[in-house]
Amino acid sequence: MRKLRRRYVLFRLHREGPGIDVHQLSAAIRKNFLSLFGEVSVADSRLFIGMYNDDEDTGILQCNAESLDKLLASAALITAIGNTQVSFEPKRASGTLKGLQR
Amino acid sequence: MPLDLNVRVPKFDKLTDFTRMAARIGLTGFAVPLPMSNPITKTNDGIVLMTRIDLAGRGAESIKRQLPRIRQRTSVIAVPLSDIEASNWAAEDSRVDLLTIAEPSKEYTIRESTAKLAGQNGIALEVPIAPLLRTSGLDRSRILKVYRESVATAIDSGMAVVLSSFASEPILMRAPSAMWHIGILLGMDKRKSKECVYQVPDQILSRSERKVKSQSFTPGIEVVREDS
Repeated sequence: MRKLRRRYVLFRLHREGPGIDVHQLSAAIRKNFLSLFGEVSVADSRLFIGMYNDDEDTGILQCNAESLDKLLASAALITAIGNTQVSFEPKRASGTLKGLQR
Repeated sequence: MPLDLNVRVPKFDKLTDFTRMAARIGLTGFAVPLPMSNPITKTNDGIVLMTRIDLAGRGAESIKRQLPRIRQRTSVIAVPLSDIEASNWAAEDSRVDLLTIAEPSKEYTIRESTAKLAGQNGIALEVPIAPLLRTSGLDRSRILKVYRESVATAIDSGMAVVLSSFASEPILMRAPSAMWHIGILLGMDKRKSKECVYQVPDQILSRSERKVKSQSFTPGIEVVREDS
């Protein structure tokens, strides 16, 4: 079986309204990704938000390298999560967590 | 320099909120449809503010009448794609900076002939992303169809493409890195999409700076005599 290449993305979520948790964010990205690219793409994406700091609204998501651009496009189109208006900003992408923190 | 050429700031007193957001998301400037004393100014935060006018009217004649009065007072002049005659006329006039897909819900895409003319005159196709943020499902897919077809026609015809937010609230503005990912949704490759966000708006700003100077002439015009 071919080994999947992973990508880690440092992101910031600009928001207006109450804070949101990692599950809400992850569900919102998946929902938009599903709407734009379909079920197979969601399955292949292996999206996982490994770290999210809700004080600074920054986090690190990981996904399959092939899905990266589509996934970030889906996240960029999210306008609201619950009652909170948001604007997603991908900061930096890397193949390793270490590379991202450098 | 990442610039957003279409931010719909409703009033002057909201401008600070938008400049603050622009600084947070990494924009170096944006264009607003508000009258300002200078066409291009810089705020204390270092954000470049440009004036923008969308020339709307009933047909080409109406647009032709408006243009001479505003060119030297405005840094970005956009003409919405609607009427074929007006779009073709605008595509030939290098005083115009952008042809905008203003109403994607009406499924009006740019024609190849218009795109070729615009490409020859350095006029870019502007794709506002706000309609994609407001809609979902089938409605969004209709807008994507119009955008993807228009972007493909523009690129094939040698016309530059610009992505702008059309944000009416600060939170609807998008970071340059988010914008070029949205460009991928519109059928562009990574390189082209980054160019639409980082390079083309900057080139339009530089050209505008030259156009607003009173010494500037449209190509093809020659000074035959100067009164002393």
